[in-house]
Amino acid sequence: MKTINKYIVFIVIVLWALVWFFFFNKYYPYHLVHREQIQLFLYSSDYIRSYFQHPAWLACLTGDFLTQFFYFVAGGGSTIALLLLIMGVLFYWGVGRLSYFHNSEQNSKWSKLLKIILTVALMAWEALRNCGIDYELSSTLSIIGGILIFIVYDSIPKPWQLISGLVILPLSYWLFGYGIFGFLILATFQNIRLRRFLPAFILFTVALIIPALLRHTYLLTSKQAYQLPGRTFFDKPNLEREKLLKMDVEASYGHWNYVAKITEKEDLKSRIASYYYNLSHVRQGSISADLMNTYQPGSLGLFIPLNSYTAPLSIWCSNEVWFQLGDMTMAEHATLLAMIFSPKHRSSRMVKRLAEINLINGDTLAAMKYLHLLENTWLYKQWALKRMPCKEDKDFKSWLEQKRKSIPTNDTIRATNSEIVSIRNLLQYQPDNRIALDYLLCYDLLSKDIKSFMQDYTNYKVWEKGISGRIYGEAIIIGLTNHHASSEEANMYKVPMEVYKDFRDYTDLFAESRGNITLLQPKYGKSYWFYFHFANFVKK
Amino acid sequence: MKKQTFFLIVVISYTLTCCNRRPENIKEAQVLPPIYPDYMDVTIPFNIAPLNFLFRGDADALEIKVKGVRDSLIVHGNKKICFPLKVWKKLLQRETGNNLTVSIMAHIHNRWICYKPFHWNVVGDKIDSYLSYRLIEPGYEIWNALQICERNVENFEERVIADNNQLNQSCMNCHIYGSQNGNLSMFHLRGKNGGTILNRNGKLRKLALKNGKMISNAVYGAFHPSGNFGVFSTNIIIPELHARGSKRMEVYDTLSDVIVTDFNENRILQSSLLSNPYVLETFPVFSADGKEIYFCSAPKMKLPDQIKDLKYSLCRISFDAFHKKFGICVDTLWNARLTGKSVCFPKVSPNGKYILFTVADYGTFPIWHRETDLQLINLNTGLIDSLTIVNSDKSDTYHSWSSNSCWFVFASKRDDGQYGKPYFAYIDKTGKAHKPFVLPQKDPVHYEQTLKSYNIPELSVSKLPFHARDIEKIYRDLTAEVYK
Repeated sequence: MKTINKYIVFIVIVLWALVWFFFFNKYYPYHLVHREQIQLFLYSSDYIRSYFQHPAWLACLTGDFLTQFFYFVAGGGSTIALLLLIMGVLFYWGVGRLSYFHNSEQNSKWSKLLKIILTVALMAWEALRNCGIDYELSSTLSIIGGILIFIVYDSIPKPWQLISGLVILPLSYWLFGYGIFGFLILATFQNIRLRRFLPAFILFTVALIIPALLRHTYLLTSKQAYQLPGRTFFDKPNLEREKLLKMDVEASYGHWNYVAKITEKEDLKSRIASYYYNLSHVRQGSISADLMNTYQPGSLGLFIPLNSYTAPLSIWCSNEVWFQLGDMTMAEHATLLAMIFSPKHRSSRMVKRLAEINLINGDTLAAMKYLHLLENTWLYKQWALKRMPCKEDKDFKSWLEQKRKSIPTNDTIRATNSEIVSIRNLLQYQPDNRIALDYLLCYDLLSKDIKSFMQDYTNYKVWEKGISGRIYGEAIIIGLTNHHASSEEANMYKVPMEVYKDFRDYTDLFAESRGNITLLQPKYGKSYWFYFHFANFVKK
Repeated sequence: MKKQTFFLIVVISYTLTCCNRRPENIKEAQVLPPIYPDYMDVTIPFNIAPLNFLFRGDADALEIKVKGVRDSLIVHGNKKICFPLKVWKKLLQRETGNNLTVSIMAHIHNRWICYKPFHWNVVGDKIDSYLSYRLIEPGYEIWNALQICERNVENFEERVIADNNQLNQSCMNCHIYGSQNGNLSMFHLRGKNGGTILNRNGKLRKLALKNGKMISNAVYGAFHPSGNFGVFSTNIIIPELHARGSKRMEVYDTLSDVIVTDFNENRILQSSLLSNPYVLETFPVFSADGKEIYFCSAPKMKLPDQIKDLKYSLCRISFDAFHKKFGICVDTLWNARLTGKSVCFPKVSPNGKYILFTVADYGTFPIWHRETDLQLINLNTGLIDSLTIVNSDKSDTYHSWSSNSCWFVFASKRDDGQYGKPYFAYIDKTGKAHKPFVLPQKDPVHYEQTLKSYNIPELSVSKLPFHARDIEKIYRDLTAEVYK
């Protein structure tokens, strides 16, 4: 009967771990890929040695090593589920050693049930914490380490437990950081139940003192000293952010058509979503028609301003637009910031991007720096080898040639927030840079700067470049109307007659309804006229 | 049992023979070995830490012989060559004043190759034992993690003396010494609880180096030899990005003046000659005897449009520390109009014989300009040495002297164009500069894998008398002293 019970307990824990496996794979895979992208695990002695500069080195080293598996399909879900399973089993076993549960044979059913509830709750809590955008696996491993140390401690003969505990505490902190408190909670319960108040008090005090004593050695703040390597006590799934990360991760794979589809399907009211919507549609060449088919937060949907108030996820995404436009200095600036603001200030994805940027710039030495780094990784070694200068494969060579065509040949200086100056500079010497041209026009439109739009449209003779789209046509009509253009001038822009007709209908309805937004929105909600009339810029 | 012992002996013998493969049938190669860092034919002080290096070839075994007149050593490895510290120290002590010949033999594709040997010239002029620097990612405007560290250059000990993780992520500017002495140093700590942290004999003070007439807080600075004064620039600094990738960033001033601070009376001393509204004055330093202030000066112009015309000259004004008075005229030592270049970061050697400075094509702060090079003026003769052997095709700047004026350290981006590393160069008694070498690291792979730049390396004869925890305490608990 006892064996059957044990199996049942084990099955419950396994099933609960499987539930989380399913959740992470089905609903949360991009968070996990992101977590792999924000770290750079090197197989080198110098890098491994850097783990000893902080407490919890064993948890951090193991956690970062295991995080590499997040790169693979289902790799993240499997790793987390496996760790939750180990945590659950160890916790059930550890809790079972507490004399509360030993001595309650008459209530064995209830005690087992309580143990299962506690185990399931702990697993759920840790799984939810794993929903954080930059949560580290080392945090999970710290708790596992703490429980494991309690089991070892409890196996020591009672007379030796206090002395062993005093040795175990600093060791536990050194290996598992805040996992020390996992050990402490279990050990305190055990000591109190056994009415060993003095050892409980001594262990409790020493455990609280250790982080405070060591924090200066490890250059930590008080808060960090008590919670390292964890950062948050609790988290919960953020499915909207998962969608944003889906766009971001797929963009990093170069799946732009898929990114375009996702952005259309999700239609999120988020700057990052608009950013990826615009970028993917510009790449497809359809932005001139599709610009207004999504939420547009003005020019903030085109570029992500970088300053000390920008959110880390926004900083993370910000280099992509510059890289696609061909402004490698801005791309490098944004990429370095993304790396600096990733939790460990080193990121595999950003190092890859820095290597690409420097290869495009022809800065071989700088590129080699990053390629050498990647050579020391498990996941990106081949990627780096294929891009080594003079050893590049054919596909990469042709990609490089293509990218080099869009970079500016002249030099000028501009502030990091002068996006429009940068685009104009790109176009001045590369007027065929279609992405830059669309960005310039969209920038004018989203800023409601019709005058600049008309000038840019005319200067770059957009109609001659085969760029046509209803939204551009709608804006041209506003421009033409504003300065009472002649029919000859209007003909030059080759706006289809049906757009003129729709404009008349729109203005009629606007006049009839006295600008009633609810009447105009159903038919014209996705027109530029509607945006022009009703979009407001609210300064936050 | 016998079987097990036999097996054990076989395994141990095999391991030993593999590890100590002896060179035989050696082929001579008439090329220098592919090593990193470039430690070939460099001049080193007798007290420097081991010059560990990487072999960048496909060798599966290496034998390195370092041979001097009295002593020699042999080291084996396969990729990294690390010299044992004690043996290295002994070798350098015994071979001071001699040339060491370094021969590298590499086992590549089942063949031993002997590369052309190179030399290390060990000199008896000691380099100051301590080096401080700021470790920072080469982001351009926004920072996150910063540390100021102190490294013992005689071994590999490094300690953090300020970490902005404990300082509310505040920006920290570079740490500088007075007279290359650990008992006199300072750095600016920015942010809400910030101030200039002044260390005089281990007593730390937090100073608000700004008064109503200054255009900004104190920025670039240096100590008076007495330690009673500091000279600083106050600047409005604009960072902008280049369109072409190679220069990356342009940092220029739209306004700047020079001031002197009195650390004893908490006063700021100003001169109209150093705060001319039509002139940009910056990068001030005192002369070795403290009687003059050297600084860089350029006419104010429309920026950024005229950035390529922004060229600084090296100027000098006298200073009377006793009466706390400035001179009445400004001399020009190095004229930008005549040279067509721009000067920055002048640093006077402690013996007063030289000024080491940076020259760029244009601009205020050209650390991203590849053409940025060091030059040396001999103040006795007025001759300028372009330091060809010291400079590279990347930025070489941010220099400071050793207390005996025989060595200087500077940050060079020569390896990858992006990450600055501290290089040491020797100036011999005749004033001739020697090929520089990078600060040695315990693990020679370090520079390949670090993502931090070494900023403002500064040498000191003694260890700093404070710790990161002291800086945290002063940041948290102390109110900055007000200056008038």
